[in-house]
Amino acid sequence: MNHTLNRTVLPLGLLALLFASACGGLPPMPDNLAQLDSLRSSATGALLRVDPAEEENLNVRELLDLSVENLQRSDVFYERAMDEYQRKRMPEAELAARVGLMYFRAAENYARAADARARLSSASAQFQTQIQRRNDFNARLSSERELITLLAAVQALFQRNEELRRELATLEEASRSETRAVYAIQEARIEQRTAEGLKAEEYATDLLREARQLLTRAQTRFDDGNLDEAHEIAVQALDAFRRASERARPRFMSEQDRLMRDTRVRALFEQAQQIFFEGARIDARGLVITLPDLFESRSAEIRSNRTYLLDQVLVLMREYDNLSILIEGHTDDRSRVEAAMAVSQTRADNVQNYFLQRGITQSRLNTAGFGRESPAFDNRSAEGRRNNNRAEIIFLFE
Amino acid sequence: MTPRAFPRQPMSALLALALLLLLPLSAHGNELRQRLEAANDRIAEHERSDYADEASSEFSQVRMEITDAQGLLAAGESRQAQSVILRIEARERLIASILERATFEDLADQRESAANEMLHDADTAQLELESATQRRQQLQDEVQNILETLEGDGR
Repeated sequence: MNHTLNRTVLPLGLLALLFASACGGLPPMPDNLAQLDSLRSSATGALLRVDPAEEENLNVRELLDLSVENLQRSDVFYERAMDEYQRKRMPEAELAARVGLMYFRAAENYARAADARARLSSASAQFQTQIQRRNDFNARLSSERELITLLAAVQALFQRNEELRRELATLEEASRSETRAVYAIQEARIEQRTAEGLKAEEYATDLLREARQLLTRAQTRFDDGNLDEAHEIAVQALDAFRRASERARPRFMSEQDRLMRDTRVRALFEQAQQIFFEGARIDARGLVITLPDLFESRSAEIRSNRTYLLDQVLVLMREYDNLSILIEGHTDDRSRVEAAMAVSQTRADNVQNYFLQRGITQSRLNTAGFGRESPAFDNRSAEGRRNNNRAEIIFLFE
Repeated sequence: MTPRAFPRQPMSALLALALLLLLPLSAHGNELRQRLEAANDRIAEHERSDYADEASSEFSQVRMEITDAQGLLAAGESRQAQSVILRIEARERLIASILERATFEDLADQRESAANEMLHDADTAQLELESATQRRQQLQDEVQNILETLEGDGR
């Protein structure tokens, strides 16, 4: 388009001016013609603004063609106007100039339209580029967000796991402390039975009292939840019971010797040992026969495959029919204290009934339930707990 | 008998001659009417454009010129009518160019505005993506640290 303008506008303008100066005496140029003349010689900016690269765009090209077409028409009318002007036919020159001016403006408008069309095309390309860019970012953002959700979940899982691990460690620690205290107390109770069996009540009164007080304190601390303190005091109680046993033992043994000199008692003990081995022993009260694992856990029912033990006791009871009998019921530590106490009493009663049904007179028999308070075996093992579900038959010497 | 220098019916001959002379004038008038009608049709079409307001003064002007041209044609003033029609045709071109320019300038403005908005959206998405990437990387590092700690503890 630049070339078109250069080819047409400039030579024509120059020619017109030369012609006008040669003739001389021309009237003033009509306004429209002067305006058109001025525009043609100066206003090419708007017509030349379109990016040459955009001229390849068909839509832009079409508008530029229209611009050129109108410019050419403008040229025709400009020439006509100049011609008429040279002939001093002013109305005709005025008319041609007005028409030429309108075509020139139309050319200018089409050029601006072409420029706008080029802008539109460029903006469309930019829009597409940006939409693609945005969609690309959004797709990646979506992917990142999914990963964030996943990682946050994993992190939360790890954190929860860590919390649980800490809670478990705390529980384990608490459980260890509790277990340690429970078994220290139980051990002290077992030693208490030994001491009492050795007549420490009589032969080591102070030590036994002190040990009992310590045991009571240990139990109180345990009930209050002071597990470590309970453990420490229970250990002291155990030591005190042991010392009481040690002190009572020599005098008890000498008394046993005296008892054993009684041929009938001696015969009973030896007979019981042949049947029950270590399950038979002499303590302050008389001959104690321990019948372990006689009951199911938490039940007062006598196990059917263990009744032979009662039958063997029955033999001794019939032979030594002048001795009174105490029947004790015991449990393991798997029940609450109250429940264990009730079950142990029922156990003793059931054993008593067993003997009554087999001809033993009621007047010889007494029962007592000790619950879980007097274990003879270690409750820390399954075997110990099983054996503690037991009865003890005591042939009373006095 | 002397031959007559003129035909017997000189008035008829003169009338025929006049008609022959007037025939092109009549044809010229028809052509002008057709051009005027065509221009009028195109202008009516332009008036339906969404951007007609942009050329409202030109429309007013051209309507007056069309009325003038029609009056001149009716009065048989072909020469003057031709001058007016020339103006009408040029103005119709001018109107068409104004509408074309207004249309494309408006569309270009709209599209540029949309492109700018999209540029903003894309920039915002880019910032969000950068932030999310940073967050994801941070989480990934934290999880990696936990895993290494677990591995170190032999768990």
